Amino acid sequence: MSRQSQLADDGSLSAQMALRQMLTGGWLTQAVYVVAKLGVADRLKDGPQTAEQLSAALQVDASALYRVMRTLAGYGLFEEDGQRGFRLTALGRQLQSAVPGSMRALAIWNGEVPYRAWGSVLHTMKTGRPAVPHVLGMRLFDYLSEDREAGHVFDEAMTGLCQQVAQAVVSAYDFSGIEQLVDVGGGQGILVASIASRYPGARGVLFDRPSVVEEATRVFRDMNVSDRCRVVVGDFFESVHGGADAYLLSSVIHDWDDEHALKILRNCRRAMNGRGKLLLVECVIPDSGGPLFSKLIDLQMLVVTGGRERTQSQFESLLAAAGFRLNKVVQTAVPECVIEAVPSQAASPGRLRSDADD
Amino acid sequence: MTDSGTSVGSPSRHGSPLAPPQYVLARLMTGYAVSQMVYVAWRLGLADLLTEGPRSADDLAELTHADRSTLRRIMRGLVAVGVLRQTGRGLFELSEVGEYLRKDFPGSLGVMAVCSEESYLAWGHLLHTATTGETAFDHVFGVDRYQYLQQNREAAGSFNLAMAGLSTQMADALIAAYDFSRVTRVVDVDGGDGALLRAILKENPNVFGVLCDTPYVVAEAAGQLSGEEMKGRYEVVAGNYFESVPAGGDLYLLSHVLHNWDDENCLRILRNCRAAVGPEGGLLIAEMIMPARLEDASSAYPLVMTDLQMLVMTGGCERTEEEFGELLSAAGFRPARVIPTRSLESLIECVPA
Repeated sequence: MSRQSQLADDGSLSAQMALRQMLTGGWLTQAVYVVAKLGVADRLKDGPQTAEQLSAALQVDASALYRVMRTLAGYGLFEEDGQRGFRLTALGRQLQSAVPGSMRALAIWNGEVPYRAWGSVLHTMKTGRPAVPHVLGMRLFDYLSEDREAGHVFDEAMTGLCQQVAQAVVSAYDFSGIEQLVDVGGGQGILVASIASRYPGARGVLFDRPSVVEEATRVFRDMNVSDRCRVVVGDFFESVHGGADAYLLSSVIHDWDDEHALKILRNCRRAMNGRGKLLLVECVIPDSGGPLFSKLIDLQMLVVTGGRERTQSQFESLLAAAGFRLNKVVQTAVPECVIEAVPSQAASPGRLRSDADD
Repeated sequence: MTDSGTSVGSPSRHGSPLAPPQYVLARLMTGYAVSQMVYVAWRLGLADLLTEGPRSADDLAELTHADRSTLRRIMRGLVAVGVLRQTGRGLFELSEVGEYLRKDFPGSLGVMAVCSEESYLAWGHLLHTATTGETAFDHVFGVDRYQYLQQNREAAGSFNLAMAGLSTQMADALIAAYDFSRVTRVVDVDGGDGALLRAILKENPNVFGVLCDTPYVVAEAAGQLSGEEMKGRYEVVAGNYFESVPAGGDLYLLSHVLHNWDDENCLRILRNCRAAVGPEGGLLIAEMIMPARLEDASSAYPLVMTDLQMLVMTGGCERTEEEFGELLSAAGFRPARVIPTRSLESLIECVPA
């Protein structure tokens, strides 16, 4: 590869280099995984350390660790001080365990099960099924409850993501005027607690399976919203808690095919009794091109979990079939958007636009 | 319907250099999904099917026996990363980047060499290498890469093809940077398919070439050196540079050999070269040289990535000028000068110490 061919005339990466960057994406995943798993960022929080110091404390190979960290320094996770010392950057701090929205667990998660699943992506190409059962011998969520360590990493990863999404949603969408909010399938309750915390006039209900109660109660207490937020146990495929003026579904619909998604949405529609707002927090795939991260997240759903991200027109027709009208899409600082919908006059059980209609 | 001023389709919002740290990190963390998407495109031969012109996703699914809806989503991802483009009619076509996935495109094989299943599996065990220092490839496959390639003819075939693609690209840069005209007998110690030697002989009519490699490789090497103009100008020697290097040359070439090996093995190779070279002869090393300190990601990229590939796959490394100097003097050579080329490799000219 010649020095000339690295850069195109306009100074951008040449096509060949651009392709090489893509092909080596997995290497970077593993390099980030190594420093995340070893907890390097936590060890650097009080100041720079050399690879030798780090490797002695972590009991790893000094030369190999140095070469991995040197690479990541090139990508801005660390700064090298010239004496083999590494200092944490703003980027690297995201890998600390205790920062809000920490990405450490997500980096570990990505380097393990999803990485292995993507190694069998040709299986997904042939069958249309996620690759996880193919490589692990069981479905993802069965695996997560069987392998406690993996389950723990996954939960922590999702907590970090939820914190990021909650912060972005609360900053981007105006919840004022909403008095009663039901977060349907809201897991640990981070989003509903963040909204209640920002809007003192709002009361929140977390509607989810019994298994979330303990953790959500702790989240409500930690965020000082226990007096205004509570958990109601139920199954959104059967019915949804009624009487609120806003219903929130955050990263729920993308786990399900159209048939199941419709069941959930229709149960929300029934609980709303013709009034209030439905708020979906989901990635929206642009109908046209555009290099958006949401398309990558869609592929993660394809290969790992078996869900899917939808385009705006797919959301429109899904919502219409459940008796809603899409009102607006509000962008946030994360790939997830807030899709605001209201009950339409009459549910229109028209034909759904399927994936093949795009 | 979107909020005023912001469009759902605004390009590259999360990929810009100004993106918040979470995004930069998220892109690094999900890099494997991008590499595997490209791997899918390569394995299914999508680029070859698009050479004649744009096609629909359904059309391609039928031709490649892939799941229709899955292929559509993967192709949407390939559009997002810039390998494919979507035409006004919703058909897919190749971008400039995607052209490199055509099997008949110059340079494509070299680029795709990193796309092997073996490489992906080995990289999944980088943590093992970081923890123990042991080469991940050996850990995963139970043999080192050279033994593996000897046992797996298919893997070896695509690897050699890829390396041939790379050496053809590099040969021009090397002969432009170094004057071979004063040399009478050049020995390419690990000559592969002979692409580099051929380029040198072609440019320098008075030079005689000796091509060395393992018996298996040299058996196939004659292809590059065949033809009327090469007749009587070269010989092929099967051997093993860990045992000996043929004597009698006045210039010995080590192109992309040393970075495959740790210091101990490099010393064995260099000492065998030293034993073969005459007092007036020389050694020419073609390798990338690692700067003592890396400046920024884009210029350092090919170097550090190749270095890590060596860490994971072969147990070798990319070396700084100082590290080369130490190896060379331990083997009885003195580096005379370092000559940059227009490719990423530099030439280190050495003489017996």
